[in-house]
Amino acid sequence: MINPQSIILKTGNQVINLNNSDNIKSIYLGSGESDINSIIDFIYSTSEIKTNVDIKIVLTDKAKLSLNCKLIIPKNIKFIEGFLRIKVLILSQDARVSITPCLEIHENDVKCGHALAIGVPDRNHIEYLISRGLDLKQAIQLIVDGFLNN
Amino acid sequence: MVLNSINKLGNDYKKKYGFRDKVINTLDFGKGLNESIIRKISAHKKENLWMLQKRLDAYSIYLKKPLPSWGADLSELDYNSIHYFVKASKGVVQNWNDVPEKIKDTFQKLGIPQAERKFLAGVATQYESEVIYHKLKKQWDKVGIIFEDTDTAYKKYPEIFKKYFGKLVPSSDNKFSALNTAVWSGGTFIYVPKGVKTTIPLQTYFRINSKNIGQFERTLIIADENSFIHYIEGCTAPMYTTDSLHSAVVEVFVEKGARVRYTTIQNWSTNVYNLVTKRAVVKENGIMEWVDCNLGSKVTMKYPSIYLVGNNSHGEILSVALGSKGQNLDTGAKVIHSGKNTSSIISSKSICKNGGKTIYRGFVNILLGAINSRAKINCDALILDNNSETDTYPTNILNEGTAIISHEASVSKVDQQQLEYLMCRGLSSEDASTLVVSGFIEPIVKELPMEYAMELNLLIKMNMEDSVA
Repeated sequence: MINPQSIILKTGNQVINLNNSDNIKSIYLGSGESDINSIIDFIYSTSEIKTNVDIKIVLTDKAKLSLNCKLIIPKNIKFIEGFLRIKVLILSQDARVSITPCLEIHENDVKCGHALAIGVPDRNHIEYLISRGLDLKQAIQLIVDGFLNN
Repeated sequence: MVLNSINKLGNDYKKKYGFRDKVINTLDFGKGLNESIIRKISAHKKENLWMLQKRLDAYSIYLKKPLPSWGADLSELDYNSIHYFVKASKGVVQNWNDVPEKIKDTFQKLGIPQAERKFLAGVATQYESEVIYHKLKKQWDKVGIIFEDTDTAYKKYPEIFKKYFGKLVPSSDNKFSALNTAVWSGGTFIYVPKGVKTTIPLQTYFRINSKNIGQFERTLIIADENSFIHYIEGCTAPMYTTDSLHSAVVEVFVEKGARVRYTTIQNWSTNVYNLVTKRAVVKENGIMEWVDCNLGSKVTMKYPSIYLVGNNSHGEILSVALGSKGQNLDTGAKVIHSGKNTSSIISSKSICKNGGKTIYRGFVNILLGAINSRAKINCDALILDNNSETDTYPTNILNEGTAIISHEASVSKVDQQQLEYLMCRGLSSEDASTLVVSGFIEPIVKELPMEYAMELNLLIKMNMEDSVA
């Protein structure tokens, strides 16, 4: 059973050493005029581990987020499997997001990747939920819950 | 070792490409750069005051601009040992027979005559700093396509030239665009009139021959409304002991409903610094495609970019980078969405081996007002040994609440299981490796028109397929 560790997105630099196979998760909800400028380096410090990093972000109102995430596999750290996954749900036209998911790989015996998706709730999904009797707010709430819990 | 054969790539490069012909340069302004050399270049080309002033302004910007603080190490480059202008032949020639024998010999080694014999009528070849061979197919003349070297175009079409030159990549853009504007010489100029669609690509070969020669070509492509053009640029250079600099500027204007595909096969020898600024602007319903293959050079810093300013415009950037020993290929792509319903696709494949380094550096920015825009980025890397390195630095910025960005990247080595599977089906280890690497880059290689010049085929074969055979 994997025990997910969690990190908190906050303004400033963070360095996180990965030395076991526990996955890392983070959820961030930005609203109002919140403004986060964060740089996080994930450094693999032990060989033969499988660690995924999952970050989910929901932005509404005039929230701003700038995130620079880096997976680093230093020399002589081998047999790593790692994946950095960042998903962003935008609920407002005024929200702003800038994301740089980086990889720095200095070994060849690795399997690494990253994925990023930034998008808005699917209009069809919202209309379907409204047609089932929910109001717009409830529909979006349900979609956000599903996004975060999936 | 199964991958031994892969690691041999580039070992015979010197033999295959490192030849140097003894071309006697007819005009050389010496090493280093100062205002007097710029004035000499301008005077030699019989340019008017407008262009001279542009060159001098660019030179002062060049002196003030710092080197990029990111990316590859450029500190080893000795700017004072570069020849900024060398003329190899006496001017632009229209007929192959008029090309000097020595230069012709170099081209023969590269397979250009075969290409000409078999397929081509429209080849403009840049040898050192001047275009020496330029032939235009009659049918293009008939439909009004202008396909000239940039020096000739400057003289023949001053109005169009002035309208577009430096408008997309101003000299103040970066240090190397300033340097290029100050000393530019040669390059390609293409104008495609409204509604004209070409069926055969136009192509140019670039080649550096003399020691310490920088090539500063300037390419300008204008595709008028509803036209289509495919332009192919291929590069190769002999192997030398001291460093050469190639710093080009390419500007592409895609008007309403037009489509431009720009294919590059970059195969400079591994002592060349390749620092290129490529940019395209796309208007309503236009399409721009960059197909960029980077196989050679010591250092490459090249990020073809697309500005999607028109509604419903589309941009696509496909790139392959193959970095071997001593190479640092810092390549990538940039797309700026500002029109409504714009879309872009970036697909990058990089392979590094023998201690080579490949970097993907991307930038996607969806501006406010680019309603319903879509961007998709995909970058994959293959590391063939544990001395090599690969990095990805994709920046994605979204300022428009209705837009979508998706990005995906992966890094892995050649799967041992796949190799063993293929070998147990009867393939040799070399063939199995070839198949895996070919499969990796196949989505982009299939976009290349393989049936063209022998030169292109040769480069692709030697650097991609033969590399693992």
